[in-house]
Amino acid sequence: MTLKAYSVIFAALLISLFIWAAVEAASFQRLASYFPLYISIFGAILNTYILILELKARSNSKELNETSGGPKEYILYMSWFTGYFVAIYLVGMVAASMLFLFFFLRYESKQSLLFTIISMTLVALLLIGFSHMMNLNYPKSLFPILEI
Amino acid sequence: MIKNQSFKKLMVAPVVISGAMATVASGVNADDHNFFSDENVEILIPFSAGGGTDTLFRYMQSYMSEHTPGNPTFQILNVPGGGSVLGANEYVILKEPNGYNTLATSASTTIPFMIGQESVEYDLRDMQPIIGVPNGVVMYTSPDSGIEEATDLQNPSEELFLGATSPTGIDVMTLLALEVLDVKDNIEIIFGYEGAGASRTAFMQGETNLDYQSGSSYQNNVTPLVEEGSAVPLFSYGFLGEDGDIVRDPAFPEIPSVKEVYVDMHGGEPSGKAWDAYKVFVGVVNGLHKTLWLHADAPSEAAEDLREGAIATINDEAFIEGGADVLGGYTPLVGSELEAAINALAEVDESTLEWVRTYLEEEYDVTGLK
Amino acid sequence: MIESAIEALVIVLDPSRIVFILLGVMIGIVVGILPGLGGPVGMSMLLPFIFGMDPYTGMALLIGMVAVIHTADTFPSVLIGVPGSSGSQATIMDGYPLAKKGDSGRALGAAFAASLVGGIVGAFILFIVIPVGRPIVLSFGSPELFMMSLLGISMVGVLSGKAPIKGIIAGLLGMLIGTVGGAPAVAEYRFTFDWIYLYRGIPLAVFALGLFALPEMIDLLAQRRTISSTGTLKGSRIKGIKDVISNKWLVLRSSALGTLIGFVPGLGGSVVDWISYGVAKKTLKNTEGFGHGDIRGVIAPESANNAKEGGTLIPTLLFGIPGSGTTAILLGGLILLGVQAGPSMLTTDLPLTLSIVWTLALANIFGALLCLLLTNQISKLSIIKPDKIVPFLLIIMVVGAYQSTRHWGDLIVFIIIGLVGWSMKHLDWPRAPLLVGFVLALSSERYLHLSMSRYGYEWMYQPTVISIGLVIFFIVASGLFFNRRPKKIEG
Repeated sequence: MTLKAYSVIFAALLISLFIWAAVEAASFQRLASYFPLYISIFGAILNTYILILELKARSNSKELNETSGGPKEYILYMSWFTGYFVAIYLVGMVAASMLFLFFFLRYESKQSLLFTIISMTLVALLLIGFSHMMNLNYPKSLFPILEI
Repeated sequence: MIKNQSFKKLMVAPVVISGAMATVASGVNADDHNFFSDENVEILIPFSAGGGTDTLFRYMQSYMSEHTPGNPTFQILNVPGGGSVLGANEYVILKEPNGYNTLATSASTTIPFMIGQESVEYDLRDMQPIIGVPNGVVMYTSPDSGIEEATDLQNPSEELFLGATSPTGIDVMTLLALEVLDVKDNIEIIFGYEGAGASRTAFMQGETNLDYQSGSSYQNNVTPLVEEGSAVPLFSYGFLGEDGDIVRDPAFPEIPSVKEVYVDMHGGEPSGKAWDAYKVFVGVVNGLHKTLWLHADAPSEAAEDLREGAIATINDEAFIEGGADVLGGYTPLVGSELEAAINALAEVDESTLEWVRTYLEEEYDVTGLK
Repeated sequence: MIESAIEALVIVLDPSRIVFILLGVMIGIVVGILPGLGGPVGMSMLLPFIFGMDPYTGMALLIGMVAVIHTADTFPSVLIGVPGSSGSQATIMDGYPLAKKGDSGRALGAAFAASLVGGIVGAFILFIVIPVGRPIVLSFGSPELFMMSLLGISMVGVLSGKAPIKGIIAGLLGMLIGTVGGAPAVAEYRFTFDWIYLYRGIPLAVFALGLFALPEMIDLLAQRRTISSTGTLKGSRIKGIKDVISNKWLVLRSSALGTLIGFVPGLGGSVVDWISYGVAKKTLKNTEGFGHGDIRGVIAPESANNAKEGGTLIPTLLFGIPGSGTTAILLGGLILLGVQAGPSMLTTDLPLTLSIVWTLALANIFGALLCLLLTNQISKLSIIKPDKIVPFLLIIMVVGAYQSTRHWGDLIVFIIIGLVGWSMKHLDWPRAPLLVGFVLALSSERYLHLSMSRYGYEWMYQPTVISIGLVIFFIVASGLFFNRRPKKIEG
């Protein structure tokens, strides 16, 4: 899809958001509703103006890339990140981070095994150490491994 | 720093009583095995670090550690949010009742529970209390409001503005007090200040001319104002005495209580739904302003050991002396006094709470109460 | 006063105390560098150790840490384009573009030098103002606070560059997102979908990290570029320091402005850097380069946000009113040390107060120097290939985001905001106004409500309100006047 299509979709989504927010805000108690209501209305109006401009703008043949990335690349890396988050949910921060590092460094950035192992160990130590020293907490997971 | 001479005299009696109880207690449990064996006890504080509750329990940490059998280290976990409801919820839902997890609450945690806010998942009547620190509340005004004593509130010559935070938190007590005295309509209550600190600042700025503060805060921050003539104390919310009636705040023996003000204003003794509700709230909220709890189903040996630690802590001279500011001159409740206060909570009449809910919904447009 | 000051200085210079200042500084640097961790994390690390210390030493440790967080948080702002803490937001506007050009050394050098001067100026002004601090803080009633938030929001126009309408919309959207959670005026929870996580609103760290960090990291990977797009480092710290010297009036002005805004109780911390940035952009010549790597766009906010630490101590120490999460914990630390904030800070505890001032100055010096030393090494991060460095950055971000409320909600919101931020980045919607609107939403609503409740419409006639209003008017008007609306939207 072209950039222009994305822009139009984004602007349309924003308008819907503002309108939805305005309707919601109207249902709040009086004092709590003024602020979000007027902001949403104002936002929706301005946004409509932008939407019209976007639609009228000349179709831009520029695809969604800047220097060298194409849509495939973006989706690839977003998937990596998503995988990481899912892993955190399943096995907890420390285990997920180690898994993530292992797979990413080995397969994506093609680092040496040594580098990968050292990184994993270092990160695990730091995560555990900081959690004790700084009282940091890590997300709860379904299957806690190495629960802090 | 204010050194309060009178509270030292106040302390003698409770210290002696508690000392006696401690002797009895330790006599009975002479061959106890310690429950706590070197693991950390966690105190979940549903407020962000630096606030009143946080500071109080941080102060208590090392004393409790020293005096609790087994000498466990106490560690603080701050879980702020939702006016302390979120942290308390997390405690009952997520923390294991293994005796190593405790919860610290403040009035802002108690009141949503009492008025039945939907988001509350904890039931304080089930939990095991360890130590409670009472705190009073005092209402005061500025000299240019034209109010010289509380009875003047019935007929103010100037407009009165009271700074408050929200009709679902600690302000509920104030709302009830004003309802009892029947002066609510003479005062413009402005909700929305970010807490007692903010309303106090507004008072000092002259934006409001009526304000109230907790006893410890009043001691530290308002008494100097009174001394320099820029604040006038009106009444204290009082405490629940042994006979179930409101008595003067022991930290402010010279300030009249709400009850006395009522008598001066209206002739007879106060009565009625609002008054019942007020007494209940004062009893629970002022009596147990900040409390440390253990889960309902946590092992009772843990509770016993912690309570022993609490009793020894308040008998520790250094604790009371060094804590003059955080304790505000009030003696913490342990042992049977604590039990009495908790029972007051457990025995609260449901219809009184129902009345409060309806009152808040009708007069202050509060929503979201069960 | 002077004798007390000298007395306090002697106390502070005691070698054992200097050690603690240094310790605090080092912890502050670590906390500042890691994005998402802020003052509260550092404070809660130190609080357990404070108990039992004498007040001077304890404060040396605490203030040492507090003073330096806003110096060190420049690292993530410049190198990754992620605000390291709420005080360092505006630095990303010009700091990150400079890093992208390979000039991170220069940006960091300038930032630290500016921070150093700013911190000292802040301490100095704190010292002078302390005797008259009370009336100053007391003069900021609800109407004045509302106008100050409005001033902060008006910066949105300044930050939108060539797309003012989109900037305004972004600002409005930010404000809308800021209303999620409890309303200030009544006990109403807005836009929370009954999800208890949202009752407290969306935490700033999660928002800022999601908005700026996630998109950046995805882009670095997908575009296979290093942060420094040239792949090399060319700028030097010395150049940055020279920039500060040649812009000395800007530094002094911004520092003074920063300290003054810091006085504003409760609000100062969140708006200081934007206001300083905006004012700099408006008052300096040739500012079209702002937003693309003008070194002055780094100097102005950096001096201001270190100076404000001095300012925020006034309401904190004199009134016990914390201006931010950090100062709230500072208050707690004071109590643990047996010190009560309030009028006694000017009388019986005056030596302690003055020692705090000195510590602030010293800590700023130590911190800035340490950061300068570290600059070269840490800048090298910007030439590491993305696929080596981004995974580690992601882990750090996730940890930082999660510390906000320690719920899964943090991560979920982080991801959602990240997607929004990514879309905005690629569709040319300015994100800075979003951040400003978000930060200031609740304060502006609260103070507007309080002003209206208390004064009806009369508050609008107060002289202070009118003067701030005029300033806002000029800023907005000049923004609209000099920025023609683009006839075509750049697609």
